[in-house]
Amino acid sequence: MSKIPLSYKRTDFASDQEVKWCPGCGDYTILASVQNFMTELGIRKENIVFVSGIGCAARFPYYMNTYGLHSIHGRAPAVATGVSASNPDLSVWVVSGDGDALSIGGNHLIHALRRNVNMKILMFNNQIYGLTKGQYSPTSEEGKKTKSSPFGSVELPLNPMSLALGAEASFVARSIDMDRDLTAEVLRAASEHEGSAYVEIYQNCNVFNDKAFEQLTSKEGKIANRINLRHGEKVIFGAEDENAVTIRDGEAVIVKRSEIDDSEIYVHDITKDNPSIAFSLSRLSHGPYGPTPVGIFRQVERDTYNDEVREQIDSSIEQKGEGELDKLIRSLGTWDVS
Amino acid sequence: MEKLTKEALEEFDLPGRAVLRSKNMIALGLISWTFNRDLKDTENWINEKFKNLPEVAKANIKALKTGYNFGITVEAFHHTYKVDKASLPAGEYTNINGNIGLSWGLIAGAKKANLELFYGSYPITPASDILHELSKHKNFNVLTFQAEDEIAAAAAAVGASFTGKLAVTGTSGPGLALKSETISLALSAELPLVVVNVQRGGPSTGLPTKPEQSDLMFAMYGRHGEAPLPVIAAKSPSHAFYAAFEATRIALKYMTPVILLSDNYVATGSEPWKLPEIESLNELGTNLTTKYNTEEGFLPFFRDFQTNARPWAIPGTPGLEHRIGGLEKEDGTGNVSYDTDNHQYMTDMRAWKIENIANDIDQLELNGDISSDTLVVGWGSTYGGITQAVNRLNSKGIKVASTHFTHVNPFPDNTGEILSRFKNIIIPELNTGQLSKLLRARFLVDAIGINKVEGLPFTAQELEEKIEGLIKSFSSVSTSVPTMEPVIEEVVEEVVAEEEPAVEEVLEEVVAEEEPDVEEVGIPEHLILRSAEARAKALGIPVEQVLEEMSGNKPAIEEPVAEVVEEPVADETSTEEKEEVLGEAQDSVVERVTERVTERVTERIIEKVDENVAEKKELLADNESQTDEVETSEKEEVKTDE
Repeated sequence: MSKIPLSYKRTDFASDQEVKWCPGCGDYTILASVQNFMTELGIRKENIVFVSGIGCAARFPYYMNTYGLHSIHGRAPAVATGVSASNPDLSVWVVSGDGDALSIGGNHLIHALRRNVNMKILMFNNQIYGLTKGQYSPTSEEGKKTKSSPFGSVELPLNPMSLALGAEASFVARSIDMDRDLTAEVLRAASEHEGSAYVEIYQNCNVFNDKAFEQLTSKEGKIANRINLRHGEKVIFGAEDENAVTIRDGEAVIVKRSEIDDSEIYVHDITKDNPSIAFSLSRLSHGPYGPTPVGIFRQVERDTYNDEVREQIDSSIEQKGEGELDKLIRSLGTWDVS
Repeated sequence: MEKLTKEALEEFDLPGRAVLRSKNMIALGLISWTFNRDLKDTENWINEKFKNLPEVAKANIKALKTGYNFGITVEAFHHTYKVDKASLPAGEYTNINGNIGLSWGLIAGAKKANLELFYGSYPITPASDILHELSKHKNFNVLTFQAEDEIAAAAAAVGASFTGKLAVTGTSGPGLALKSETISLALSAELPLVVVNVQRGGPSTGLPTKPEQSDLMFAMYGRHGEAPLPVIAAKSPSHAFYAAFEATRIALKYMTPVILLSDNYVATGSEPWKLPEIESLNELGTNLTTKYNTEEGFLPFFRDFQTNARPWAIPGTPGLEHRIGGLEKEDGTGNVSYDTDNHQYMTDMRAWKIENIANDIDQLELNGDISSDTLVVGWGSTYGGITQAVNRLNSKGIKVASTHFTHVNPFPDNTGEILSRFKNIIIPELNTGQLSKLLRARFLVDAIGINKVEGLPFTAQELEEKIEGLIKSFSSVSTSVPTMEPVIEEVVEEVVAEEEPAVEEVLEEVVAEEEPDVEEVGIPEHLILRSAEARAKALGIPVEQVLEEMSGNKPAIEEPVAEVVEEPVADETSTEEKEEVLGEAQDSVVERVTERVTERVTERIIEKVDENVAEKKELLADNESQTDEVETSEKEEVKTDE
């Protein structure tokens, strides 16, 4: 994909369609972040494709002035696999939600990540079914009271970061809708990554699940609970950097900084081939409650599905020559009847 | 046989297990003797197969001969058989099974459309061999995707189609069920997609390795919402090649998913295929575009006048960026629309688009004795059995004809006409009567099914017997008529006199029934107007001008449009114009009505005559009434077989 300096404005990426999310929805902020970020991407907009499934987030492609395919519930990663494998020159973006990606489409998500298909998957996690008006989702906390769980949900939620790491994802990151800088930073890295990039974005649903992420977005929570993961930097957090992450018996744990020597503080390395530490970091919280890591968990180089598939086709053509139908229909042997 | 093998190969220095591997050659030798086959070809084949292991080749040939000689010596069977060479038209042949034929047809379709082929599939019996075959031919720019499940296989194909590939997904019944929602997406987004369904016994896991034709209704109607799509069926292993090519042509030309039905019998059966001239295959057109289709920009649902297909603009094309999906779209712009009129229009348009294909496909052809009263109608893999049965009956002097559907939806334009030429319609199917239901519903014919679901195809002999039985039952009443001639004449007169007032009654009935058919005469009028309105809006020109443009391509509406231009008072003329279209339509309706009234009255008279004759017969002679009973019971017996 050629990257050329382009003078796009944010409005170049806005389609003529009226945006129809609820007023105050976190999706607006993400849309603005993405449209802004697209101007710096250096990719011509005709080479960008947004693919979505079903849900509030899935409306996203309609608002982007690029190519877009609003598909069916849960299947966006599979549809995007077809798009991406068919034309490796495209920049393919999947926009999905917690229900779409982790519930009905869980299978497609893990296999797209495993194959390392060249696509960027944005998973807007609002921990609720918004479009269907408020049922618990696979990321809703246990005990969550909703229309479909009036006595509280009895289900253990999924940890979206752990899931992706378990599925051999080569790029795993988390951001928060309100934090435009972090979102832009993560998306930039994702777009530059060759292969599948999986980005969870905590997104506030102000109608059905308001303030779900308050512990990470309120004035105090932001400072107290966000564990910012930055490659090559010591992982420390808190108002006065009083907390740190260290590795004990192979496991990431949160400690008071005063309790350990600075040399014992974990220095974040996104390029580690073994995903154990990244996985362990993902277990520091099982939802946006208390200290929670955000940023890039893992970014490793791995052959992409696109390249491998293309390589087989190219080398087959090189060895056998471009296929000829006359030869094909005779390939099993022929005989003459006179 | 084990003993025989060991004894025969004693002289060879081969380990015990290797010796027993030649057991099959003893069997082949014995069979060769039974069928009077010369061993030369088999010996050559063995020598070629084991050319690097001459000792093994020798051992196998020895085993083969031993089996043959064993047959001669002990005269194992009382009869031996000789099968003569089949007489085939001169030409170059290859041996092909349906899965390979189908795969090659897809490759040929992609090649002739100048597109890359994308095949998304999940392993399933008996369709997996298509995936195996296609994955060998990457040098034809074939990309095979073994998906995580059936849904992903179809979904990835939809993505590939959006990207401008010839997209195909293949499966068998259970997989088709899983793909249903995704096919609806392709249908709604109007993207070309070939869906291969190699049918097997169902429901559920059913009989995975046995043939059945029980997915016809599912192919026709197995989607939520109003979702018609073309259905094509392969009738033999070699025909699978052409059926796949045809499915490709229609998908690309009309921007629609197409279901291509094969079944286990076609898929795994082999036959000699006289190779076609590749050059004789037509180049396939597509709706690919790189240009604006209106002055203001690109409208993704701006349709072609002839085919009603929308343009196919693919990612990577500057300026044609657009969004499509499964939500209802406004015609023209493709923007999401919940407008009620628009949904009605789009539903009608999607249906019309498919119905319109009826005049762009091969018409039904008749085989056998066309002067017959009886037509045997088939689709898919019953072709060989039906054709042979009918030909055998003909050579026995029994009058019967046959016809075979490759296109099951839409039916070819001449279907109604062909069916109406015959009094009796027989439909053999490996299901409980699915095509029968479709033809009864659509053409109001009293189709009689020959149905079975035993996991086996029909044999020609089986069909021959059943068809013959049915034909006898049809004619049993009329054969007794000649002896009653004077009585009949009398009765006919009576009945005709009685029935005269009924003619009017029937006329009314028929007219009432025919009325909705007026629309079928040309493209539905409201679709023309609506389509013109959308185009006019997009181009910012008057509707009249668009109608004029359209008339150039659609002779059916030439006249009304010409009038609009002469008299720009749109409202009034449009009424006149409507009347004129209706007038034309009515003429042809009147013809049809007359025909049908005559037919129906005649039928009634015949029925009544038959009844009265039967009554009189009973009174006339006890002996004859006995014969009649025998014949009636024969008829019933055959009918229970249905």
